[in-house]
Amino acid sequence: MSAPNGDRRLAFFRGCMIPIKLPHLEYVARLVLPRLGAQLVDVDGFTCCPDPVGVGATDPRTWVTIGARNISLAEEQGLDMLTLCNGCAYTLRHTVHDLGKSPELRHQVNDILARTGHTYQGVSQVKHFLPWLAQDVGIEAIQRLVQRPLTGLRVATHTGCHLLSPQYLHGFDDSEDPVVFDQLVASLGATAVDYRTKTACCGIGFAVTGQAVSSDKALSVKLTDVHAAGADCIAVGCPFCYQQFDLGQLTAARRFNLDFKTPVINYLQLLGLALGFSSVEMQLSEHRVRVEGTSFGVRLEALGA
Amino acid sequence: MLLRESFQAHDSQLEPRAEVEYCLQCAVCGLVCVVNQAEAYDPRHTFVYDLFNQGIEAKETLWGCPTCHKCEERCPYNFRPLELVKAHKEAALAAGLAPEAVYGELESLLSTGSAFPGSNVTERRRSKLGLPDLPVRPVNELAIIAEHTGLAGKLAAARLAQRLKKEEGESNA
Repeated sequence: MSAPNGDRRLAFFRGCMIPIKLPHLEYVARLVLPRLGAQLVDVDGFTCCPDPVGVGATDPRTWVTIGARNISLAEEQGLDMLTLCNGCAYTLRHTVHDLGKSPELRHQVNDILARTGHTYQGVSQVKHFLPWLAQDVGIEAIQRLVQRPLTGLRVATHTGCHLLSPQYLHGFDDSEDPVVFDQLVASLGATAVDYRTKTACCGIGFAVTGQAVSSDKALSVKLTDVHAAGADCIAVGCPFCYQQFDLGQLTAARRFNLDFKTPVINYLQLLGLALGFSSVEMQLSEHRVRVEGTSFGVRLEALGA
Repeated sequence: MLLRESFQAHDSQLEPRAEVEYCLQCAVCGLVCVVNQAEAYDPRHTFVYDLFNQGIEAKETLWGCPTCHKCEERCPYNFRPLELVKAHKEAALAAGLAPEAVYGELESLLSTGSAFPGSNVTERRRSKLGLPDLPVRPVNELAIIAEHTGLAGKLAAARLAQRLKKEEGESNA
């Protein structure tokens, strides 16, 4: 299959969550993204982005300095960066934004980085894979690559907070009425369904600070709306949202007696299925909310995936 | 005026944020925030009111903030509640009052280069999928950064404050 825009070398910024807790999604990314023209380059020395919530809000100086260090490694290779995580995209783009705006901050950061042998230059671009697909590859180019249209599959998209807001940082979509993820889903032949709490947070922040009841409550509101919209699955582009919807759904269902199971799928898995990869190759057996026996599983079977 | 009184009690945090005076407690920030799902949330709260009247103790409403910027985008007075949330989290961290998970994450970042450590299970799953080994993350460089940004000192001070508080509790018991 020829790549739409020719091969493009990109520093592959995997973050922490995917390589450590969800390696099957890294496997899927390494299989699918090259089909869209991304030549993924592993760069030595990347660390945690770091996380915008646990680190960014508690120690902004360290956050931006470690972020700048990560970007400087890609710059040393002359590469732009591609991330698989909303948190990583937020942190690294925020770093580029802040250091571009304030020469003084950039000077302070580079003063510290010099002691580690690196310099932040501000030349590498950082993109999450969803904006990369929508803007750099293009919806029409994706459409042309589809081998197995996902006709009849009803998908509820959750773009996720850190890719929508603040809008000036991402330039990806309208943070109050997002549509681009829906267009990416529609380009595969599937149907994007709208639901009431489409822009609400998944609630992972509660889960990681030990607030289980609040986490389940936030999650159950979204899950109930997704179910009411008649979606076969929830599509995400962020591994933290994925973990919250997938693993969290089990505890939220127990606590609030939710009598449904909605499979959670990373967009790259849907894309892979539409490109002709099998359910096995797309690692659908790794999900906590089982695909078998759901309307999602039935439709995939009918599509021969 | 209720707000003015409580603000005066926190001059050091308010001084660089004079625009907080524009907050009229409309509570839109709370309505668009996931924190309104927290057990401890009260619909009468705005972030500004809530935070400045209750201090920086480890509270659900403070630590439930996912830095999503919705409050900032919707505030009709162009005030930035998120900046206050971050200022409070920063102060809580240094005082030893942040949730244990936050200290755990920062310590993991500095000791492993990752927000959480991998395990044998991680390695087994990766090798089954034919994925490359996890990269070696240069923690020596992170130590240098943490020393010069002040994070290393802040973490040590926070742990000391926690230990003293615990010892005080034990001697009072």
